Amino acid sequence: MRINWMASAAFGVLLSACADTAPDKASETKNSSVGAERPSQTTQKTPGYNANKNVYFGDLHIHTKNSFDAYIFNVRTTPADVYRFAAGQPLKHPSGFEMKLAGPPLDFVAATDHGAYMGVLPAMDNPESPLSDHELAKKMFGADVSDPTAIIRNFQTIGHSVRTGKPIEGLYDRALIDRTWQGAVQTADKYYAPGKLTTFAAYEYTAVTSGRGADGFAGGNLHRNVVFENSAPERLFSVLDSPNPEDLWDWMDNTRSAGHDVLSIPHNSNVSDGEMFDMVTFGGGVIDADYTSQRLRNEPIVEMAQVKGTSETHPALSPNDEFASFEIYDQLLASNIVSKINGSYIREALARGLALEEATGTNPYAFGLIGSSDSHVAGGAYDEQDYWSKVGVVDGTAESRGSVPPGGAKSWENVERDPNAENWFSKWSAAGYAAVWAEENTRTSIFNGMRQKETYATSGPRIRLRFFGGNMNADILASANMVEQAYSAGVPMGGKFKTDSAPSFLAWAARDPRGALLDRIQIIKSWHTAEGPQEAVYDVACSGGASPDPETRRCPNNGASVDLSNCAPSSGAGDAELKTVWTDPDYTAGESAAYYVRVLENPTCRWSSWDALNAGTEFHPDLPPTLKERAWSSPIWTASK
Amino acid sequence: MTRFLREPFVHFVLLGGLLFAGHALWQTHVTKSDRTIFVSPEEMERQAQIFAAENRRQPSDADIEGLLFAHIEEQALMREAQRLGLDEDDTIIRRRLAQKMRFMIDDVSAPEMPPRDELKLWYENNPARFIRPETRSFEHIFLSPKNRADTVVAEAESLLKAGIPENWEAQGDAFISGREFSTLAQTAVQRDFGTAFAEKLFALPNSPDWQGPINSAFGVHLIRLTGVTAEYLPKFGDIQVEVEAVWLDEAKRVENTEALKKLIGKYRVEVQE
Repeated sequence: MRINWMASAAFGVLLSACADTAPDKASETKNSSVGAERPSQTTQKTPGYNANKNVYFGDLHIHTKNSFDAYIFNVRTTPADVYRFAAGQPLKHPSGFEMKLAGPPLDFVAATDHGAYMGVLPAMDNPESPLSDHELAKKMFGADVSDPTAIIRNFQTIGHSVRTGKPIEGLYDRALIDRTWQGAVQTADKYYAPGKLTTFAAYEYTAVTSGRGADGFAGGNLHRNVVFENSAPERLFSVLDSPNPEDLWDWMDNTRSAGHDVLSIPHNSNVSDGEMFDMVTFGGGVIDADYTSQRLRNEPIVEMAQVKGTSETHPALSPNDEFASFEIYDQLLASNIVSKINGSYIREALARGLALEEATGTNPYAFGLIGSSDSHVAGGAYDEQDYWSKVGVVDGTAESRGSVPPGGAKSWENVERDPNAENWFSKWSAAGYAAVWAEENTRTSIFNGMRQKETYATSGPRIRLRFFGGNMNADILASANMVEQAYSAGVPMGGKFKTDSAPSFLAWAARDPRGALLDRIQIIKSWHTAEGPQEAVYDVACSGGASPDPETRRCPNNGASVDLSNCAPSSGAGDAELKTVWTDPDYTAGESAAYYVRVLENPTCRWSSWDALNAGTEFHPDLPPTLKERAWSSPIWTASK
Repeated sequence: MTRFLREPFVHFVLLGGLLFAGHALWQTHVTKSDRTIFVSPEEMERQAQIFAAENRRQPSDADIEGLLFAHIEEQALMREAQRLGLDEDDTIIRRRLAQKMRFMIDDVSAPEMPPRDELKLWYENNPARFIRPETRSFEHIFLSPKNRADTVVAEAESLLKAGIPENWEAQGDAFISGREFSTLAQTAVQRDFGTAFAEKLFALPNSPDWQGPINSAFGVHLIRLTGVTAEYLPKFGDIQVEVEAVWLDEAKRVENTEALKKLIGKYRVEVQE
């Protein structure tokens, strides 16, 4: 373990100072930290308050120019722009075009710039900052530098520092990073509009391991977004303090004790090289009870759908799940090395968590699910039909991201394909959403929703999804107060209940009014035996009034299709709403399991098809022309009494 | 080097980089030494440093040779391309240069916020940017078409005709977004119910009685309006942050347009018939 003890000591002093003056829990929004002036968190309810909870859609993963890997790609937008975009205002993409939400405004949002070197690149590029005198700054932004090749090569020195967790002498300006972070916290506070738009102070903890590939550059992505509820400390904890996520959790525990509630949200486990949901600690040690309870306390939810692919499961792990191959991206960051599959996907992790619970008493992988964008241009591209990818100038055009043939060609025959577009950008996915069930659109209510894991992820559409488990009776479906009954008879998604008989569940989904009709609801069961992780996929509600085949457990094909000449969906097939009560037919007495819902839409055109259609070119022959957009609920866990 | 070539910025390098760099190098090197490729010790040292940073080891003699060859090859290709004038009629280079210039124009520092009084005056002169749309609060009874087939509208109509009982919450089916909605603008109603429903809801007369039925993307609804707030202009003091943001966007846009105009003004434009 390598940790910056100087910084830790400073935190200790800072945090104990906060603790001394911290007011009691009831009025914890006022404290000695950044941005104490904030709309008050009284018991007054905001418009739209609903004791049975509303669903709110948001994005907790967005970068701005303060991220080292955004500024270098000409991103100049700020955290304030993130909040403006979320509220429905247009922004300019670094490639010059306008970005605007096609759908309604976001309900909640966080700018999550990389903590490491936060704000450092803009300073290096500012002649008035002393950082512009640094040797590397001159090589990247000097007046006589005109060769982007050199700029980027020198920039890689910073990327390398983030990868190794070793600060660069003279560039690791803690005071500047602190100021940038405090500014980000204040901006989040400024744009917080209770009842309308909830903003959170947040940043990304950017840990990556290395040692894979011929040059040892590639490694497992262990990135997390660190999200604060109502207030934030004056200093953040980045990979330059320690590249070990367990040290981050120690810091978070201290930060929470000082009155700043916080959680961290892992993302892109799909490219973690099997390390995100490992069966050993970061240092290779045995996972013990301290580890499992600390992890669960700090990481109640996981971001499992974003531009760099989905992390639900991999076809190799789920050979009997014909819908498993969905927006899979499996190359380790900035490399062509394929990430190890085991330990990288949430379905298997749910089973692993149950095994670890048996061993330690706590399930470290009892997490809920969200999606987000990971946009580096201050605004997420959630719509397949209006897509601008993620990074900035390198993937801002259809040609650069490989959805249309290069050089103005109309066909893919005999063209030389760009390897980065081919291997990376074209496989990326339109952004996902984080959905949270909460009483009202406030920091407290949405943060609680995340702590309780009453959350779900979508691949982009705003599908509505409810999921309850417990003593569910089919009569409930016909009742106008189904939700009240479900809450009182059982637990919502993210919850756990004990049972000695086959558990039953209520699954309920409604389409996005702007999106496609629904194809089916599935319930996926994950559990653990001596043979290892187990899984089963059940179709539980089919569109068109059909029933799942009792043998195959699958709905019949509903016949929905897409006209690829104009991306128009077929009419007739699909439902606006599906709901059912389902009892596990394969329950074994005494077992513990995790159950989650997957809702599938009818097929629609993938972003790459829309790009090609708009450009009047042939579709890329190796990309799927359509996809079945979906939503994934947080699991409900069962255990024997 | 090979890893570098796989990095995500290779596009940046290929499209913008190499070609744009070529233009600059054209002036610094090529003009004074038309057919000589200079490789200075500093250049090789730089290449070696980059290699070391990327591979975390010093380059071997073979690596140095490889770097040298790659450098010479790149220079030769680029210079030959320039000699042939390939850069002059290349759309990618032209666009890239224009884009680069546009960034420089856009990058000018943010305009200074005017004093409060001045900002307030601007807000008063631009009310349309800040007007809040009409909002409606309502309760609804939802009837799902499922298991009702073609009778769903008739059922809703007869329910309405018979008079909605006191326990209206127990009527019809559960609706996934809830039963009561508070102070929603038409766009917000769209997100939960779809466009057609939102339009019809906002066309309902402001009455305390149950009305409808109206259709949505999900089924059929009976509606009781519980509040209607006409559109209004919020007080300046309540939305100063928003006014500042809108003013800033506008000021930036004006500044950019002015800068662009000035730039164009430096040129005499002749459009030939």
